[in-house]
Order: sequence, then C-alpha cells, then structure tokens
Amino acid sequence: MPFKKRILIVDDAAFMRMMIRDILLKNGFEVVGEAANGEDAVAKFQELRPDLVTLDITMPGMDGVTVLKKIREQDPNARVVMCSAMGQQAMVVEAIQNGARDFINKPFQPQKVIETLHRALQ
Amino acid sequence: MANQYVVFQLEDELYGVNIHQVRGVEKLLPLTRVPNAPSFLKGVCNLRGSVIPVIDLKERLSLPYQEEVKNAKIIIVNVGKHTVGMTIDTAADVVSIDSQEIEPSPSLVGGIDAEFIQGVAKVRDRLLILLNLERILTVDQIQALDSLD
Amino acid sequence: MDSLDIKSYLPLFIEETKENIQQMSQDLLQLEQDYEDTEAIDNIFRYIHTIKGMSATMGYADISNLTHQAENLLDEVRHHQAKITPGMIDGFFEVVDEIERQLAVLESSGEPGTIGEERVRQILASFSEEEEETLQDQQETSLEEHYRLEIEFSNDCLLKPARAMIVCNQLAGVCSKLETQPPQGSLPTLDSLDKFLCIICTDNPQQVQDILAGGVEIQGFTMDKIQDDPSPAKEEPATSPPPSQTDVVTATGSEEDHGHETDNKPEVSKRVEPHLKNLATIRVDTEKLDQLLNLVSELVINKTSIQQAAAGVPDMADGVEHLHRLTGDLQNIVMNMRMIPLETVFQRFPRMVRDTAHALHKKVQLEIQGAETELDRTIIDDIADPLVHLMRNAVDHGIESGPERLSRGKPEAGKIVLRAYQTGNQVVIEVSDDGYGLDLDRIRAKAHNAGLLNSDESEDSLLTNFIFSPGFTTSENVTDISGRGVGLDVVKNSIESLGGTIEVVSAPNVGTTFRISLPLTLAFIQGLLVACGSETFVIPLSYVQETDIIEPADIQTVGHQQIVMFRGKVLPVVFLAQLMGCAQQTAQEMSLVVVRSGDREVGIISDDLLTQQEIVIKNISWGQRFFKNYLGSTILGDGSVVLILDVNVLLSGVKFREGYDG
Repeated sequence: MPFKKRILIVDDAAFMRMMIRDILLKNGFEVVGEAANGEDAVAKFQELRPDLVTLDITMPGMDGVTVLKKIREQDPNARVVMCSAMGQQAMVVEAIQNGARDFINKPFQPQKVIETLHRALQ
Repeated sequence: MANQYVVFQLEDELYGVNIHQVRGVEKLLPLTRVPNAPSFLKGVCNLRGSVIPVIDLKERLSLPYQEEVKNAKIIIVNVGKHTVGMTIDTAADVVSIDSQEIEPSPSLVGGIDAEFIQGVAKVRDRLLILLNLERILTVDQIQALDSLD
Repeated sequence: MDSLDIKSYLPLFIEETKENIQQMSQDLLQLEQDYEDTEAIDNIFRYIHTIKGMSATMGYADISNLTHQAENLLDEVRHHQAKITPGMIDGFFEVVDEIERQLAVLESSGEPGTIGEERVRQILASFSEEEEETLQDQQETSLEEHYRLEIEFSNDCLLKPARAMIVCNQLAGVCSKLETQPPQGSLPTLDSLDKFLCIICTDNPQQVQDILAGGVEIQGFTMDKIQDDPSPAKEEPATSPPPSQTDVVTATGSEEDHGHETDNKPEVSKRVEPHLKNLATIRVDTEKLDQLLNLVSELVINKTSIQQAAAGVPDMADGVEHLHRLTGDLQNIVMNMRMIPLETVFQRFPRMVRDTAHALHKKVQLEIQGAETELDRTIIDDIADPLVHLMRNAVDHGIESGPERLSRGKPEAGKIVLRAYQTGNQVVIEVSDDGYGLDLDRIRAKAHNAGLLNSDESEDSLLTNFIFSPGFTTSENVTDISGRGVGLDVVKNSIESLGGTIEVVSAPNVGTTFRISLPLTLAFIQGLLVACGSETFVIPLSYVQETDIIEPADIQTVGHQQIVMFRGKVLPVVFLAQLMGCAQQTAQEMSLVVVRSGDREVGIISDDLLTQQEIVIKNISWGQRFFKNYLGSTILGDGSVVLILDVNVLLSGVKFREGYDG
C-alpha cells in the first residue's frame, strides 16, 4: 500500500506508549503522535487528524470513554480502538456503545494488536 | 499493596491463605463419613448448625505424610458461595505481605502441583507457600461414582 | 434533595420500576396481538410515564430521557398521529431491555450506568423500522437469504460479550437483519459467553464469511443457510391416535384461572393475572426471613430430642405434647412464608417464548395455567432454568414451522401450555406443545445404535425415557439456541436434585408433554433412620412403602440381582452395607425397608431400624458431585451429622428386570 496508516497513541504510561509504538513501527504503521492525557489527546486529534487512535481506557483526569466521546464529537467517523486491562468489561462495553471500533486487551500480544488495527482500518 | 494471610503448617512447610477467604480455625470436629467419595473428602461436620464438608488438605495437595497429627485443626474457608473445611497440622499466625514480595512459584515447590500455588513469599527467613484455594477446591477431573452399582 | 436522600429511595425505585416494566411487557405482548388495543396502549403509556417521573426524581437522566422519547412516540399514537407497527413493538421491547439493564447496574453498584448515544440511536431506529419482512417477502426481494451463524470465541478472549458486541457492529453493516442469542440488548450485562448464535439476513454471505474468518479472537464459526422448508417431515402413522391421553390442556379439577376455553381459542396469549391477595402486606428483608426459618428448624430438631428424652417421663408428657403442637404450628406458618407463587418464575416466559419464536421465524403462543400455585422459595429459583430449557426445546424442536403446520391441518401458530397445579404433597408443572411429538422410531434406532437398547425392549414408555440420556438427540442439526449446549439429561438432573421427577408423554403429530413433579416442602421431611454398621443414614419416609425383618435365607439370587419374595411378588434388594461400604454387623435378623418411586420398588437391607422422626434437610453447597447419592444431610438431636439417601438415585442404580414372576 502506498501510504502508511497514521496512528495517534494515547496512554498515560510512557512504557505502554513505547511498547505500542514499537509494535506499530515494526508492522508498517506510522506513529504521528502520542498523548499522555485526555486534553492532550483531544487537541492532538484535532491537529493531526490520524487514521486511527489507540486509546487507554483508564487514565487519571479525563477517562478513556470521555475522551472517546469528545473525539467522536469532532469527527463522528473517527476510528478509535480502546486498550483495556483485564476486568474492565463495563467500560469496554460502554466504549463500544459510544462508538469504539474495537478493543485490545493488555497485556498486548503484538499479533492481536496488528490484526485488530487492520480490521478497524477497513 | 499489602494483604493479610493466615499461615498454617502442613508437615514442615508453611502455607498461607488470604485472610478474606478464611472464616475461622476450629479443632477437629467429629466427622461423618461420606461413602463413595474420593479419599481426600474426609467427611462432613456440624459447624454451629451448618453442615460443612471437610477435606484432607495434605492429601488433596498430594503431600506424603507419615501419621495422623494429634491436635490437628480444621481451617474453614469461603470460596465463592461455598464453605469448606480443610485439615491442617497447626495454625500459626496472621502475617501481612505486600503484593510486591510475592513471587511466582517455581514449577515444583514442596512437591505440590503449581496450579495449587498462587505464589511464594519469604516471611522471617522461611518460605511461605500461598495457596490458590479456587483451584484446590475445584475438582473437575475427579469422577464421582455415579451409581451405586 | 441532596444525594444522600436519593440513595435511600433506591431500593424502592428499583422495585417499583421492575413492577412497571413487568406490567409493560405483558401489555406489549397484548398489543402485539392487537394493534388497536387502546387499553394496552394507555397502560403502557402510564408505565413509561411513571418510570420517567421516578427516574427524573432520582436524577437518572439517561433513563428519563429514553423513557421520555418512548412516551412521546406513544403519545403520537394515542392522538392518532402515528400507528403501531411491528418495529415499534420491537422498539418498546428494546426500551424494556435497556431499562432492565440499567436496573441491574443500579442494583449491583448503586450508581446509574449510562445509555450511550449509539444505543439510544439504535433503539429509536427500531421504532421507525419498516414492516418486518416475512419469509415470503424475502423470496421476492433481492438475493437476501437467511443464515444461521454459530460463533466460538477463542479461549484467551477475555471479554467475550464485548467481543460479541463488536461482531454485531461489524455484521450490522452487511446484514439487513440480525438477531442474536443471547440478545444484543443483554450483552452488556453478561459476564461471560459460551456460544454466540446469530440469525442474519444478508445478500452478501461472502462478506459475512470474511468478517468472521478474519475476526480477531474468533476461534471458529459455522454458517448455515436456513431453508424455507422446515426439517424433513417425520413419518406419520396410518391413523392418528385419539388426542385424549395427551390432551393436558383440558382442565380437570385443578386450580383454573378465569375459566378460559381450552380449544378453539383465538390467537391471544393469555395474560397471567397475578393472584394478589387483598391483605395488608409488609416487606421483609429476606435475610431476616432466612434467619427465622433457620431458627425454627433448629427448634424442631431440639423439640425432637426433648421428645425422645422425655419419652419415659410421665410428668413431662403434657408439656412435651404442647411443645409439639406449638412447634408444629410455627413450622406451618414459617413454611407458608417460604412458599412463593410460581407466577414469579412464569412471568418472564411469555416474552422469552415470543423472542425465541421470532428468532426461529415461527409463530407460537404461550398459555399459562395455575401460576398462583406455590412452591418452596428454596427450589423456585432452581426450577426456572429447566423450564426455560423445556420451553425453548418446545419452540425449537417441538413445534413445526407455520407452513408445515398448515399443511398438517393445524393452526399456523403453535401452542405451548405451561400448567402448574398441586396434588397431594406435590406440585406438578407441565410443559406441553402441540407439535411433532416424539419420533419413537428415530429414538429406537438411535438407542439401538448407541447400544442402549436390547431389541426386545421396545415398550414406548421405556423408549421415551431415552431422550433424557446424556448426548441423546434425534434432530438432524442441533439447533439448540439456549447458547449453553445443555441437554435433557441436565434438565433431569436438575429436577432430581430438587427431589423431583420428570416424565414425558407424547403422541406423533399431536404433541409432547413433559411433566415435572416436585415435593411441596423441602426443608422438613419425615425420615426413617437406619443403622448400617456403626453408621446411620436417613431414608425419606415419603418413599417408604413398608418395613419388615428378614433373614439371610429369604434372599435369593436371580441372574445378577438379589431378591426376596415379598407379599407374593419379586422384590429386588440391595444391601446398604454394600452400597455404602460399611461393615454390616447383623448376620441374622436384618431390616428390610421397601422403597418405591414411580413404579420401581427396591428393598433396602440394613442392620436395624432406629427411629422415625422429623428431619430438617441441611444442604451442602460445595462438592455436589460427591453428594449425588444424597438428598442432603441433617443434624440429629445429639449434634451428629447424618446423610439422607436419595432414593431416586438408588433406584436408578439398581438393575432389575420387570415383570419377573417367581
């Protein structure tokens, strides 16, 4: 494919952002930006208009579902994939009901992450 | 984050169970045998008006043991909505263990199957084996004797 | 009001909303049969309006907004600005489901959940859906076909319900219809999911395949086209047998409600009127009730031991007699408090049958009789699952499709009758359908192939019992849509673990009836204490026919079975010592207890009969599989624990030949 897909990574843990970034870069994606909190995520989304956003579900301050809603307010077609740890079914469900394309469980399996993102970008 | 564990002894080793799962420790109550049950199910007892099944923990963990221990006790635990008693040699203490101090168990510790172990910790220079009660009290492989043939 | 005040009203809010929802469901079902039913429309409007008001007061904006929208729509209907359509009915049911979901969240967490915008849009969308396409219409439109999908998620998929929701979203883009089991509306509330079943309508099956084949966390799936023709017609007998022996719809001397006709009824599902006694009622914490019941059972045990101790003391006779009567009365009142009308279990069924029938494109009516019949609180919860399964089976396997029914001269809509009544000290619940009936030939063949059958044992009643064997199914494709893959053997086990029995009666092309019998009171029974070696066991008195003393010489062996001649008939016997692995002590005079269940009888031989007394059944929750031979346990006056034998299990384990004559 001619152009690499542009991804915005949102997670409050630098370690997680780094890991996702590595997986994405190794698999033909372009990482156009990273955000460590909700406000930053919404701002960067507006500025960068990525093809897809990976969004951590639990963050201090503005939580993942709120961020999701705000992003979708700006662009109802925004593709967002939620990242959740185990045991957060209620929030994942809420996110799906609010327009999340898909979700990935932590700890990440690179294979699953890539498959999920590809699906979500179709 | 620190959790409290009830510590008890089986043969020479120390074992621990999360205090939230422990209802109490009793002296060995009279047991009624349950015919045609696996041998680790020692029987049922009357615990203040409720009928509680009692299992031999050493046998359930496949630990070799020498003889009946005098003054053995029963530790009464809750798992889910079930209450079960397990025989132990002595009850020792309640200790506080930080979750950071718990290490995953090596595959064979003290001869016990790894699936029964949640982790190990060092307490006052001794190894404490933390038990996974849910696994211990799940007996799917064991076929009960279905009919009384 | 500040938030603290609000919280204290929560239990009341939940309870009232539940009642309103329940009534609303019933009226929706009525409305579905008759779109002009103004009474139903007014009722539903009232319920929604009430819920809107309550939720607004509680500050639950999402619920009050949703109900507000629904109320508006209904208002338009009331003012003749809009008409009721199938889509609307579905939409209102979605509203019901969503409110139930919200109540679940409130109950578990105390805080309101949110209803996402997408969800609201989804619900409102169903209100304006076009007329539901019938299968006939399907053929005229483009190449849309119905398919049935069974999706299995991989073992390491941690949030299966959420994954299922994603799949639904993905399929929605390709399918004009998507119905799932469990229903989409319920997915957010599920903790886990075994199999995910979908009935879809699409003109692009390839894309559906692609979505599923490439699906993340999907381990496997099957996709089958649903034929317009139903499953191949069964062989019909030359003459249809008269329906009388299987017609359980005629009411004979049971508690009937509202004298409805049993035949030729127009197509209206009978609404179940709750039998509310017009007495003052109070709400009692169930925990307190349980404590009270426990105390009374302790009292009964105590009274028994006092009775025994006072047996030889004349001065105590009056006092003990009085005590006996008092505890008896107390026991009765407390047992009455424990009894709950089956209504509470039955009320979910009309909706469930409707949904199941819809998913399978069949028309089925459910008629409920005797919902006011009462059952012990401790078993009533456990009876729901088996009944649900039987009814789903009836809709799925029992009832034919519309066209086939018409071709057999039956009304297009199938009928299921759920009937409950009390007889003696048993409660009987029957689930009857007027469908295919059991195919005896198929059963015989299957049983024969499975090696379960000797060729000479072909009596019908024995054959039908095979359907309760594990893994036994005569249907070509297992269309079990309960999502759990349970079978009739599980139903039977569940019933028997409650101390009940289940049997089936059927006639080809007429229908099938499952009859469940349950003991009326479970906690207290009369028991016979028998000694075996140094141990004691209880035999429930309700199964005991007779007792006697026998000698070793009385025992003969026929084939592999030991028997005695008892009152001129052959009676198979078992040694309790052998069954229980105890050491029998008496060699000479042995105790014989003849027990009977249904038409099977067995003599239990033990060392001695000890006493007959009132027994309080204590359940053991853990390790059910180790206690399958026992109904439970009891605590005697001296504090010792004694196991209560489950006679049904005992009888099923004994092999013997019927009708042998000395």
